[in-house]
Amino acid sequence: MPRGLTDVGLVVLIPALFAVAPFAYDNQLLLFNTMVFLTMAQGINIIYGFTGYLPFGYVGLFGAGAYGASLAVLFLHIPAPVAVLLGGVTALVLSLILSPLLRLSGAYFAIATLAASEVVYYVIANPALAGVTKGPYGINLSVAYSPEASYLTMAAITGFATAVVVYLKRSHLGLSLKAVRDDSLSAEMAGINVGRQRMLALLWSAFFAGLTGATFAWQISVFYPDSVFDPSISIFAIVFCLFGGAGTVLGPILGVVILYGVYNVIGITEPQYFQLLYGVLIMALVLFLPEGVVSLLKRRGMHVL
Amino acid sequence: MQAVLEATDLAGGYGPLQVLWGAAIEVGESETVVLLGPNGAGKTTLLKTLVGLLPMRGGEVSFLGRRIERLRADERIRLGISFMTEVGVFSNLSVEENLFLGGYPRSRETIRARAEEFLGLFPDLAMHRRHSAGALSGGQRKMLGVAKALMASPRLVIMDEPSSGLSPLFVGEVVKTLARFRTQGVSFLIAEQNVKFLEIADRVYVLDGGRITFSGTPEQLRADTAIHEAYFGLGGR
Repeated sequence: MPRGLTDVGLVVLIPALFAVAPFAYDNQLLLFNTMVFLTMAQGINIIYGFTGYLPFGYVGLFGAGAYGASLAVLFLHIPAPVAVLLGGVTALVLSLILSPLLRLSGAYFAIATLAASEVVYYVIANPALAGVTKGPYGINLSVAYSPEASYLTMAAITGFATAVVVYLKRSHLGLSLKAVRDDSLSAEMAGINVGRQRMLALLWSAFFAGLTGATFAWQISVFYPDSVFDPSISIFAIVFCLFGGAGTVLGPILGVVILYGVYNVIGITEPQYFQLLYGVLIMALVLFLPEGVVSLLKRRGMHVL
Repeated sequence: MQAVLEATDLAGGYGPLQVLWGAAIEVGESETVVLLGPNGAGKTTLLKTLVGLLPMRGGEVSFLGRRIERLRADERIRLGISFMTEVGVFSNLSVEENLFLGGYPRSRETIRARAEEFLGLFPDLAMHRRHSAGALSGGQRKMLGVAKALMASPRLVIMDEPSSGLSPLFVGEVVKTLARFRTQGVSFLIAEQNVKFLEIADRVYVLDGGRITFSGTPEQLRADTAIHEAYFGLGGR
């Protein structure tokens, strides 16, 4: 199959499947959350898979998007779809403020983003700022409530995120990012502006977290700071991405389908076994498949997008 | 002859440690210049200072008549300088991807065409085009490094110890490959300890203690018995 066709197929197929899925399966919130994690895992993939920077505080950008969009709806009376875009922009602005963190290496970057996300959380949840952010009392977006429209918006964003990762995988830009990840000094010696390329990856990654957070807020319409700054959102997105295989298009998708699937089958009814199973799965992954599930396919000589 | 690269009075080093003390170096059009010197002489420091990987403490660097010392490293590379580090390749990326990255400053079409041209010239690499560079043998990896360095059609190729980690047989191979490209209007500046590279040198500098202690043709170097004995007694004739 020509690769152009595979690419377009993947990008169109995913949102199309989700768009029709509610007719066959009635747990729409589960489908919605699957899309949320698909996009978040691809967002992690853009920054981690292509530059090697792992943002543990990724949820901070998600929460920033949720609040940016919600406050725009409440105070500026902007239609929700436009507010979603503003949520993406809010995350972009936050990531610009955080961009000096890219000077840190590895673990320090991870920890610093985690701290930054906590700072944003505490600012928003601060009762003294309740006039602006509604503080700990949370947001009520019932004026814009529309589960169908927000669901379809999320499907479009998921397709968009997949498209960007496919583009990165194929393009000169993606190749330059991989060079930066592999050896930043040699990348500079190839004429690559290392700082700018890392920045680009961070911005794309942040944009998707912001859009997703905004759409999530629109979908659930009533939420508290805790629910959109929950660190487990970062952890899930990271684990899904790594489990499937970072740096590929397919990896994060497989990660979400398998692990989020397992979570929903047994995680909710029997949380204690679920924790055990998750722990075992992650340990097995680190020990036997450090490059994710896709490496199983690669070992068989398959070319994985 | 117009100088492709001209550096005067170079001072530089790492943090508080000064390594270069007023070194001057010049590479002419289509010229191959070898920079010899023992370990710790400051060869790598000199090259890294020239391309902007290390800050300069003093001196001037011009490339094709243009002062470049205020440019960032990647900007200098895009002017037409190629720098092959000791490692030389991205070991986690495929052979093909390495070639593409070598041509990064050029357009996509140019890069694809030139990569095919090089894969034609190096059948060993063509065989492994989709394999990761880390899986290649030491000799193949060096060849890939050389091909990668030439991908962007640079005016000047700077190489840091292309012989490192190679058996004498492969050192000969690398020298032969370079000799092939010498005639194609590319200038080379090669930092080496291995005197085998003198075979392709038009001029030689000897760097010691961060200063240039000899400058001349390979013949003059061989005639200068004191230097010859001091550094190359074992590796020479």
